[in-house]
Amino acid sequence: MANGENQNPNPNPIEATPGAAARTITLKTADGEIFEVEEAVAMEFGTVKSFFEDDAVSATKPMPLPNVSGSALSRVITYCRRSLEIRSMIPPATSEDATAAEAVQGEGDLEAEKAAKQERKEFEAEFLKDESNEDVKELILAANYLNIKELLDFLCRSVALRIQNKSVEYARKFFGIEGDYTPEEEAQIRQEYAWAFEGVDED
Amino acid sequence: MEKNEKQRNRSLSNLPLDLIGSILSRLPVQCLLQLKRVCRAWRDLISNPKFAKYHLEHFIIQEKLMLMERLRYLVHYDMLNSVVEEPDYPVTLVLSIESRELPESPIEFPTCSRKCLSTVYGFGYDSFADDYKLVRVVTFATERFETEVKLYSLGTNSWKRIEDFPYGVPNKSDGIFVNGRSSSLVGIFGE
Repeated sequence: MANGENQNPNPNPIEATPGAAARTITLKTADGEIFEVEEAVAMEFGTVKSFFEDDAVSATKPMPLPNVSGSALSRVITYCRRSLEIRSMIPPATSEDATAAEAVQGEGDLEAEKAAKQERKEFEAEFLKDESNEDVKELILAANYLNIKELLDFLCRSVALRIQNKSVEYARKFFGIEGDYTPEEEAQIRQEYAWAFEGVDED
Repeated sequence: MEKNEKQRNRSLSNLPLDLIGSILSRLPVQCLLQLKRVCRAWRDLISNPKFAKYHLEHFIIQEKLMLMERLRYLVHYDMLNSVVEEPDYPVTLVLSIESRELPESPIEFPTCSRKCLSTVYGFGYDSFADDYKLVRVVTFATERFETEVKLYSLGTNSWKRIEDFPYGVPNKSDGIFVNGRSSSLVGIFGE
C-alpha cells in the first residue's frame, strides 16, 4: 500500500522522540539564539525549505534568520510542531483505485478529520490567548518572513477578530498608527458612511 | 519631512501595508468603511479596486457565500468607493448556500406580452437586517418598460415581490445604487 506521493528518500518521524535519530536543522535568530529543529517542522517554513532544497547548501551550518527573534521563533516552532501533529491525525488520502476495504476505512477517516478539526480549534484558541498585541504583530512578521502560510492565515484571522467591532482609535493603537486627517476630512468621512457607524463599540 | 520622522518613530513591529491588507481582507465591509478613518494610507488601501477584488475573493469565500452567476460585482465595490462605476473586470462569483440552490421564483407580472427584455441581478448585504439579499429585476417589452422586482433573503431563503421599478433597467446597465428603507443597499448590474 505504497503512498505514491512520498518522494522524499528520507521520511522523518513527525514527532521526534528523545534519542531518535531524526534529522534536525539548525536555525540562528537575529538575537543569536540557536534552535535545533526537527527537519519535518523546519520544512514547514517556506523560507527554510527553499534554502535547503538547494543541494549545494550544507545542512550542518546554522541557517541565519536575521528578521526573527528567539522568542518569536520559539512560538512559531511550537505552532508548527503542533500543527504537524494534528495533521498526522488524519490518515493520508487513499488512492483512486482504493479497494473496498480501503473505502470502508474512509469512514474512519471522517471521524479522524473531525477530531483533528476540533483539536486544531482548541489549540488555536489557546495559542494566542495570552499574547499581547505587540507579540501577535511580531508573530505575523515572523510568519510572513518565514513564509508559513497556515500560521500567517491563522494570525491574520485572529487579528481581524480582535479589531472587528472595535473603534477606529483601537485600530490605530493596535497597529501603532497616528491619524493624519484634518478634522474636516475626518468629519466628511464620518458623514459619508454614517449608516455604517451604528452599533459599534466606542472601544 | 515630518511624515518620515513619524514613520521612524513607530514601533519596530509595525506591519507593512500588504500584511495589513491581508488582515483587513478578512473583515466585513461595514468595518472596512469605518477603518477608512484610521489614516490616509488605510483609506487609499481600502478604496483601491485591487483591494476590493482581493477582499471579495477572501471575505466572501470565508462566509461561504459566493454567487453562481456571471455578475459584475459592484455592490461591495461600490460601498468601498462610494462612486457608482462599472468595474472593468467581470467577476465570477458562486452562490451556494449550504449547497442549496436558490428556490425558484417564477415571474408573476401580469402582462399579455410577457416578453422579457432583460433580467438583472443585484446582490448585497443589508446591514439593518444583517442579511444578504439578492434582487432580481425583470424588464418587459411593454410600452413603458415595466419591471417586476423580487427580493431574495438569505435569512429566510425565500423570495418576495417588492415595489417595481418605475423605469425599465437597460440590459447592460451600469451599477445603480438603490437605497431603499428596508434594504439599505443593493447594487444592480447586468450580466
